[in-house]
Amino acid sequence: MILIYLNSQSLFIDEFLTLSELLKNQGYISTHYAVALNQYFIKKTQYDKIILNHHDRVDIIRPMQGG
Amino acid sequence: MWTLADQLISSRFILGTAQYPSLDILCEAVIASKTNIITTSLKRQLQPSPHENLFWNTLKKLNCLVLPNTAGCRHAIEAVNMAEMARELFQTHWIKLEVVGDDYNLQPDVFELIKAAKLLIKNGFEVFPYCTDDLVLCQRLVDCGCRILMPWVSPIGSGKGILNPYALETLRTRLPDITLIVDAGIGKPSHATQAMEMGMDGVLLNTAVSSATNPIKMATAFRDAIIAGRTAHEAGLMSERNVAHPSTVLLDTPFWHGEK
Repeated sequence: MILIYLNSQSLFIDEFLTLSELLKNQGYISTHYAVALNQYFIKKTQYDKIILNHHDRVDIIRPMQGG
Repeated sequence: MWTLADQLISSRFILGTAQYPSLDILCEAVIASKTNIITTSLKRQLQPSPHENLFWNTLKKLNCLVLPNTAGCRHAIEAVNMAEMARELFQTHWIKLEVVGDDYNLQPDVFELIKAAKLLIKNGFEVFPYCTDDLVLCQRLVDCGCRILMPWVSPIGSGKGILNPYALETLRTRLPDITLIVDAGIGKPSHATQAMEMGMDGVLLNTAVSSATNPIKMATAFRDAIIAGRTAHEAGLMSERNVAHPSTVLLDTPFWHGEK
């Protein structure tokens, strides 16, 4: 198991889990979000290719009101 | 009709979507404003919520173009990342570039702004930079490919109106082919009219509408004020004089005091 942070919450996950698998396991099935990994934007097309590492920080980004 | 970033639109009013008393009032204000463009932002999701898509799903029904912002960014690299997320999420290459350098007055960090603008334009974005009214900064932004500039008139949310009309007039005169949309500091419809009379191409505002006692009515007031200012600009304003000049021709009037 490795420790990652999903939306700042600590989470233990299996080793060699892809970003795509993490999102699916955590119920992120809609398309209305973007993802930042360690504060860098990750394109949707890359989710399958990224294997998560110890202490990675995954943030789900959603639309909000703005001026 | 006019063209903004290759889009033919009717309104010169861009409305922000933050700080409304409710989502319903926001929607009614957008409809009342007759705007074609609304601004949005992005947030980190801290807790999953069953209503997480409500805002975006509601906004989509308004049939407006979306101008996402990079609010909260302090460095170019953060703004570039946020812009990439916004492009994927909102399916637009438009970005209102905000890179703030001071927490007290939310003044743009002009050095990081230029850095970010260069990177974003290289990556295919149409950059709408929120900037100060400094001519040299604006010229540098144009040099790196910005076709639109969004100078502040006073600090964001202050409602102080146009603090430096000379600077805005200078921008209009010196950058005649650049689209100028005033952003930040507009508090009253009369401020918007003043900006449009000066030849600005549009007005972006949020707080002046969302914080009004009646945001829907205020959206209408701003809509009309912006139209009035633009119409006046197109009509050609009279020149100011330092002395009085009678509007009524006084020749042949009875009791002409000049006659002996």
